[in-house]
Amino acid sequence: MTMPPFEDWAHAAGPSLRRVAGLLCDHAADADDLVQETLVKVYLRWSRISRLDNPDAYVRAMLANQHVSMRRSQSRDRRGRRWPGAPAEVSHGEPAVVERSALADALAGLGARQRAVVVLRYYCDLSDEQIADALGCSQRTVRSQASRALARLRTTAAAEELG
Amino acid sequence: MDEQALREALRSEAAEHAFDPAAVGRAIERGRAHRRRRRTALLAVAPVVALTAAGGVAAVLRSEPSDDGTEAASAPVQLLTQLTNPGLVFDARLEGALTVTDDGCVAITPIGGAIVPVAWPPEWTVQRDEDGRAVVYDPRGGALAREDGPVGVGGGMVNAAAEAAAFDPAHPCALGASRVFQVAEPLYLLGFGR
Repeated sequence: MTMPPFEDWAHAAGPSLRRVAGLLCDHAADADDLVQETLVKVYLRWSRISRLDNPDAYVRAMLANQHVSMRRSQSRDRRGRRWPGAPAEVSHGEPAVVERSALADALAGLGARQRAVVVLRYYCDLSDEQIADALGCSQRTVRSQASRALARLRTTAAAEELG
Repeated sequence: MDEQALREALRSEAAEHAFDPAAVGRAIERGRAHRRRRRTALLAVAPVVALTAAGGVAAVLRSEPSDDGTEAASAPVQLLTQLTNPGLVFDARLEGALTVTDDGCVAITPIGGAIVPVAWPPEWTVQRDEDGRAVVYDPRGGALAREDGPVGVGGGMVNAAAEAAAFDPAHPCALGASRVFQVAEPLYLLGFGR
């Protein structure tokens, strides 16, 4: 099988990846960064990834995993990497109030892994086995995370508007 | 909300998100910079390896083909500098290796991470030294960091559209990123890599 150039693949797969990233992140800039980081990693491993049966599914899983890692890293940064006496937050230049859909509000209330499970399961239509592989956890964990996430979505006011 | 309703809501929500095709070019640029940095690091240890391997390893490494067939070591280097001093205090810090991209832009690559575009303080400059490595200088001419050497700066990630942004987002060394690490004073540097 002929290996497609990375650039051609990335232009074709980019819109789909950006949509998944948009569901995983609260802010557009974060979603852009997530796609960017993932594309760089794919570029560096393209000779192997391009030979997979379904590179798109593999990369979507990479994206979700990268999201969980970045959220964990950001959380760690917020806890312990401040300058002494420095103010608490760095402005990212986004407006304090951003209009979001009820679903976006509901997703924002989920943990990173729960959110990834929801997006991979209900948007990307991945199986529990594929999700478990992507996130490095057991299928049982995937099922429990999905169950908790759904319960949480149902209980939020934003989810009530959807339901 | 049942599962089917959630699927439909997610599809509807996802349709709102648009992809910027320029992200592909940026990813390629950053990937190439990563490879070049790794190659440089390998070459740096090659002489040591050669002592025990009769020079064979070093010869192989030197013959490794460039990703794009060009040699950037002697290309001009440039900094994205802040147009003004915003006078703000940020609480983030960025540590890694001083990196030069294919375009000759000086940025920072955190350990294990991808290259981060940097807006350096006004009047900071960069020049190549006699070995061809980029060296960043402060306004007094003090050498502060060297290509592939360790560097740590204080500042914050700033969105190009933010009021606090003191750089030109159209500058090539912004690397087309939506956010750039804007170096603020006071800053510290981990060392001058030699």
